[in-house]
Amino acid sequence: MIGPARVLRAAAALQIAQLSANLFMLFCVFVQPLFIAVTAMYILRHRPDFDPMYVVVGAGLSGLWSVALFDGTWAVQSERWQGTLELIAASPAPVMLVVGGRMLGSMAFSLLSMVVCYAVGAWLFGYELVVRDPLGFIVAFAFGLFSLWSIAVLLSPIGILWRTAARFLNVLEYPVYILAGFLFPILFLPGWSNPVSNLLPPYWAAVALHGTAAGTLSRPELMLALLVLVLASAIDLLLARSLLQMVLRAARRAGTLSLT
Amino acid sequence: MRLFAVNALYSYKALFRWQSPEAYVLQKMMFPLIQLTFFALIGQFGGSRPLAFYLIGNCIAVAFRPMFSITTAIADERNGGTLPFLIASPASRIVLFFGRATLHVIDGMFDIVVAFAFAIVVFGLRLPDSSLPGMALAVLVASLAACGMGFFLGALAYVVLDAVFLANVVMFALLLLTGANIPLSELPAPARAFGEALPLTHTIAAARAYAQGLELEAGLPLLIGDVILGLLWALGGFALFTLLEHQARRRGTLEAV
Repeated sequence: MIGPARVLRAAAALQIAQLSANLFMLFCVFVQPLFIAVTAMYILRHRPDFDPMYVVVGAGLSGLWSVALFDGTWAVQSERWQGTLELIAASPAPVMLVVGGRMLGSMAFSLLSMVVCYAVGAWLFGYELVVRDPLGFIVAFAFGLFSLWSIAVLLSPIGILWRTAARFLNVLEYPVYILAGFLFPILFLPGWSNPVSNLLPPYWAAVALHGTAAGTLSRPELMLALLVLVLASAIDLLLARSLLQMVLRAARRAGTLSLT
Repeated sequence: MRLFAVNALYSYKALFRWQSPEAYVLQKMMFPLIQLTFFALIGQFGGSRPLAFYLIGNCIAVAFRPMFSITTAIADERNGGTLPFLIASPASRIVLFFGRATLHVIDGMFDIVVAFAFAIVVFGLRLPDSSLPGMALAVLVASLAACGMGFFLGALAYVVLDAVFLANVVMFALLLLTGANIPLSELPAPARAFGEALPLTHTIAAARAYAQGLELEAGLPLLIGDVILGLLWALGGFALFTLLEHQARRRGTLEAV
């Protein structure tokens, strides 16, 4: 029996190697957050209460979300296209572990978007970037990343089970940037959309990260955000497990594990 | 004429080889509107300019859509394996190359008009009646000029190898450097100079001026400037394509160009 840690590590390493050669994902991690960060810096710097860290966090989150969305939706599909889904299904390692490992690699890779955005603020614009609640920020970052990873894992079976829905999911990149308030408060949105925002884990990740970076989030508020992130992640992972099993059952029954 | 018409039609139909009707609506029509919303809301939060500044800039910038289509229409000849046939054919290169844009220009104008309708309905953008002739002209010029850039990118994709990556980078460059979201005066001198050389920069300025009541004639120099720029980018693309074709024939690498 292969140890779970070894499966996770091997899947993550393979994923990072694949992403490093994928121009579209490189665009999502490096180019898009860079342009968004620069554009947002120029637009928002006129605010009297401008904090460049707000842009760094918001634009960085956009990179994390894009990777979770696109890579998650494509994770199982790509195994099928590459002809490796049969091998994964037949291996003794649980599929959930393999997909989880791959998404772990994706999320680790997506951290580079935060680095890019930090570089934009610190070097390109020369701002002094200050995190006012470093401990809270680190905790919020870990929980936020975990929640995005859970969403990516959940998206992977959806991407293959309901392909029309998956096509719709691909369009959710910008709507989540908007509804989660990555670069402006959701108060700018119509009131009816606020409950939708409250249901989105990226919104709570943004609340926790923006709040701890600016030092404006009290401990109870931070705890609430973290609690929502943990609950949402638990639901995502439970659903993902059931859906992945459904994918394998359906594919075995129909004999469509492979496209070749 | 027949070659021109057939080429224009099939180049447009090829768009639907990779885009099903729902993808057309979701990716091609909805995506620019959501992106427009995102940047308009950042602009509103920034508060340094009126919301109309961002709405008009981003509506005109929706012209990046036909640019994508043209870029892939040219670059996909290699992926589709039809490039050697194209190069070996006796057909006029000028007709083959430029005929592709015809329907994409119209499609691009439709995208921009939809964007303006969206901005009016959702954000309450107000355009005076007197601005409509100028706006209509700006929509036409934006689509034409963006297609000119698409020709260049399509040819450049044979060197860079990934047309979508290239078009995505240029899309964000247009959003950043054409004044769609940031006044050119705020950009550093080299970025401003590059922005002036991009299609859409002058059209965006003209559209904003028309929205503020400028006479049609007064904005014409700006629009003519972008028509010329679009033409120059398109000719640059044609020159690059011709050069690559010449090299491919000499080296016997027709598939790779």
